[in-house]
Amino acid sequence: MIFNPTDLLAVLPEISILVLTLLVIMLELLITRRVLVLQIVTLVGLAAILLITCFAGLGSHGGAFNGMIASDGFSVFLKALLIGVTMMVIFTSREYLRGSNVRYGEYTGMILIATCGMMVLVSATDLLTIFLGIETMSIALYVLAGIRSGRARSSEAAFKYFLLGAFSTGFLLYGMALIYGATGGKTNLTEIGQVISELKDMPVYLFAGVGLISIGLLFKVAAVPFHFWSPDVYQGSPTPVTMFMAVGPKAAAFAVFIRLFGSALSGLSADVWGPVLWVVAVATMTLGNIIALSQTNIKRMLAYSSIAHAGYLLLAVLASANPEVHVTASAGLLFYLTAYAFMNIGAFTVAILVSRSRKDGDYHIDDYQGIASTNPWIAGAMAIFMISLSGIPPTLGFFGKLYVFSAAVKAGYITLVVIAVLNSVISVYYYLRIVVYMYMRPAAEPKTVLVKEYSWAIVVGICAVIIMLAGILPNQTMKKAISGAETKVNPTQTVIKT
Amino acid sequence: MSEFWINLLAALAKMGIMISIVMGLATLLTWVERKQSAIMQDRLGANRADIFGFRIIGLFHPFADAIKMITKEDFVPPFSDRLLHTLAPVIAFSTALMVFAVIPLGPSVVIAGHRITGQIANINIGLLYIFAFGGLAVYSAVIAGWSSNNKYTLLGAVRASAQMISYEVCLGLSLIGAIMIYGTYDLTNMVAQGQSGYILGWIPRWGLFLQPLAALLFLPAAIAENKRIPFDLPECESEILGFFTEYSGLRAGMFMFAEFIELIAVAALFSVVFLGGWLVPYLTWGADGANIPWCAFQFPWGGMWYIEMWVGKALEFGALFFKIAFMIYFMILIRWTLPRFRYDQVMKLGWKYLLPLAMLNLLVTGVVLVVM
Amino acid sequence: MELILFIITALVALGSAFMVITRRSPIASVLFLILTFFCLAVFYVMLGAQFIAAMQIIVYAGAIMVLFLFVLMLLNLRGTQSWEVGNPLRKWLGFAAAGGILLVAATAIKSVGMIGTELDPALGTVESVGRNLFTRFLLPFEIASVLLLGAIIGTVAMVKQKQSESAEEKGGEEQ
Repeated sequence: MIFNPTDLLAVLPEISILVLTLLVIMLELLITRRVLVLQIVTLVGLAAILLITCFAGLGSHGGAFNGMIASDGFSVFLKALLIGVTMMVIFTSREYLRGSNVRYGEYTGMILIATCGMMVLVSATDLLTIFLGIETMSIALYVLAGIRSGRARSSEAAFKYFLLGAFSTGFLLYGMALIYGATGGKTNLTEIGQVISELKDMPVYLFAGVGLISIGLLFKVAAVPFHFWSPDVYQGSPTPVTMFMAVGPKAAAFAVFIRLFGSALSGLSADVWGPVLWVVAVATMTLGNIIALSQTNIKRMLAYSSIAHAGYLLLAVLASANPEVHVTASAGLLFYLTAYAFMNIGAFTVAILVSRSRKDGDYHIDDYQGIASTNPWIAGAMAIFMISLSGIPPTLGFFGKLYVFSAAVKAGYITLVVIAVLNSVISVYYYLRIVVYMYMRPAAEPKTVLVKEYSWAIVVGICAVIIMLAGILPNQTMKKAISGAETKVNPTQTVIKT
Repeated sequence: MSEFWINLLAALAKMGIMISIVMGLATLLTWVERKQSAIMQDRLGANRADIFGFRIIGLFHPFADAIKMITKEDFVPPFSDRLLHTLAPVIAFSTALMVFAVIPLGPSVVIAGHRITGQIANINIGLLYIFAFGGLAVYSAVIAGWSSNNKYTLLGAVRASAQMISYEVCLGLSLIGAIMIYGTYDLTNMVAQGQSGYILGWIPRWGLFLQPLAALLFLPAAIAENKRIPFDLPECESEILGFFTEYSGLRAGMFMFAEFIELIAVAALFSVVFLGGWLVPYLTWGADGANIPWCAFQFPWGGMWYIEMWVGKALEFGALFFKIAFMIYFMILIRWTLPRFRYDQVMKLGWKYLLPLAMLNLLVTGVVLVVM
Repeated sequence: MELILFIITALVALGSAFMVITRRSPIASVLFLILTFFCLAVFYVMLGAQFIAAMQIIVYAGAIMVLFLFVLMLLNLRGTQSWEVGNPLRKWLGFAAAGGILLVAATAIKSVGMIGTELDPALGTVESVGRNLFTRFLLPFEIASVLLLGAIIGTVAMVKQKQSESAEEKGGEEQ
């Protein structure tokens, strides 16, 4: 049989994003070059796709397209999050790219294709689909990193990202091939899990395969020791793209981590990948936080803070291998990813605002001195973002860390959680340094008004509000996250049609 | 094991026959080109070469050309890569010849109880093989232009490869329409299917009638692959330098020979895929009740004209040869009629006109196949 | 018979792969890489995957390597400069890591033993691949088309510039 017509419902979000991509590109080509029109069309389209995603998630849960993707609450949650992130990135890009030669239609098209790749990735339950999702997302991001190709930094960022990303995809693919061979020709994650649970003695190349796959995925989330591309790429790309890059691929890659390592390979966690990821998580958190302490460029600082957050998220992955804690850990991951998304988007948008107010558009930390006196609202929002990033209550970031750490404790990784909390304490320094600069230093020069563009202010406002509100009432979000994690297609539900 | 040796022997014999036919035809083509262009342009053409006073309308000219090319100085430009300079004509020649491994030059015959097909290699992926080795011909242009240590030839090589790559896409897409209709990549199989019935009762089921748009698109794409006029911008030597400017003597001779071999390949491919191969219209083979095979012309108005078996086979071989010759004549006709395209016209034609038409053809073919 | 062919092809493949990394001139490396791909195609045919063999030549040797050759020609890389490794420790570390991977691979292969090559020749035909591609692997197939679309649009978006940016670039460099 070819496929069930109901499977189309599962990929309806991806199909509609593709339709929107083609629509926007054709619109720019044939009808209008006015960026505002394109942006409005894109945003309206994305809002419609958000509705479609939630509607598609109401259907039955299970595998689709012969087990290639899953349609479950987990993927619906992440798809909705990704669409929200994309909307905010599109919102921010128009004013940022004004005056540059970037064609807005193609830029938006690439962002939408990257989003499509990420959406495929979060619902992928087969090695093939994982690979294709990663590649689609990555190639669109390579292009976006270098889209201002007249600027040396942008080309440098794209070049580094592309080279290292292509290499890591090579490792990923080789690992997939080895796992395919070790499990006797299975690429579906559920089937792999079954084969592994029945295996008596593990062939060596299964270990090699798992190792190589984890190299590929750890690169994507910029974990140590595969993090070297991250600060340069984040600094060189246009800031809306950096925003997109900091949030989207991490969310999608961690979804893959949970599906692959948390479910399929959970049987191997004790011997094979558990200790390795333990070390990687510790190194990631520690290195990210320590190097961030000395950064003076806000984009690089946020890049290293992203690396540290990836370390915290790896705790959730480690915890999810334990079958009792699996649902809690997955839910915690979803919650943390939501918090992380809004925090980072808000922080980067404020960075754009502050940098654009200066003549040379630098991203130096000293620009933040004394903002509180001239722009209290922006300073307040940035303070909220920084406090949330460092994990101080009652913000969303705090609850995210709370849920993830408690899941890890329940799974037995007590030392790891202690290290993580210590790292959070270290990170408070560089996050609150910004707050100190804003509130307690006098302004270096008479500042002009920051908010030239209303769209940026809107984004900042939305993020701040969400973080504060959801932080005060975390249970609503957590309920959604838990319901999402519960309906995740797990190894006992094998829905594969051949 | 004896089956293996018989197959090997048959393949070797077919290879020998194929190479001699192709090379002989290519040699003849140098003369045909000159004479046909002369007739078209109302002049006499080359008619000076003679042996002991016999001119035979200039048929000795290919030998004269060969002797001239062999005895010229073998010159490799200084400071260039000698190995690559020598490699380029080798690649051109060999890829052009290798395509013939899957082109059937005749129907299957039964010799001494064994069925021997007309193509050297009976592989499942016949046409894909042609795509593969046809695509490798780009290397000859690229390496030739680069290894000559000459910036003009480098530009010529870039032009040539851009043109060839662009038209490869259209070539493939137009052939896929025929593949969809016949459902097979194997060329012998494709021709054999053309025998099954008639459209509207009297039109034979040849590719030309089933896929007219594809046939129309295949020809310009193939001529562009071949770098013949009207697409011979990469190699026009007198106006702008092409990629084999620095080649002289036998090296240049190999390039030109390779071009003629490719011409024969294109003609053969077109005849086999679109013109029905060795099928003669209304010639059918059958076996009557006692399993005695017969061969006859079965006309649509009901008449039957029985002929001998060997006459039928000879007719089929002759039909294929005639179709190939006709296509070669047609392409030489085009060459001496049309002026040359400019580079931007070449690119525009390939990407903006031929490619969308080829895709439209695919779409329509798919819809028709699903509906029926 | 098949064993002889396999040994010859394997030797040619290994030899040309070795030549790829040891040649001075990049063009020679590219040509040896093309030879390696041909040997790989022969392996595929011997395993019965004829379609993949044709795809290997069409896509890899016929399109991707042409791109490589283009880049080398247009950048005029002649390989006259030698590569200096900054810290010799890095070189030895690289050798050690590669040796480690080789050790793992060798152990893995040794542990498998000989597998009987009971290969169904019908699996490699165009019909079989096509049938699987459009039924069982329909979704990855379609996603691959999205990937290619993204690559095409992205390449042109990156390269095609309006005239204003290059003029703007002459005047200051922002971060």
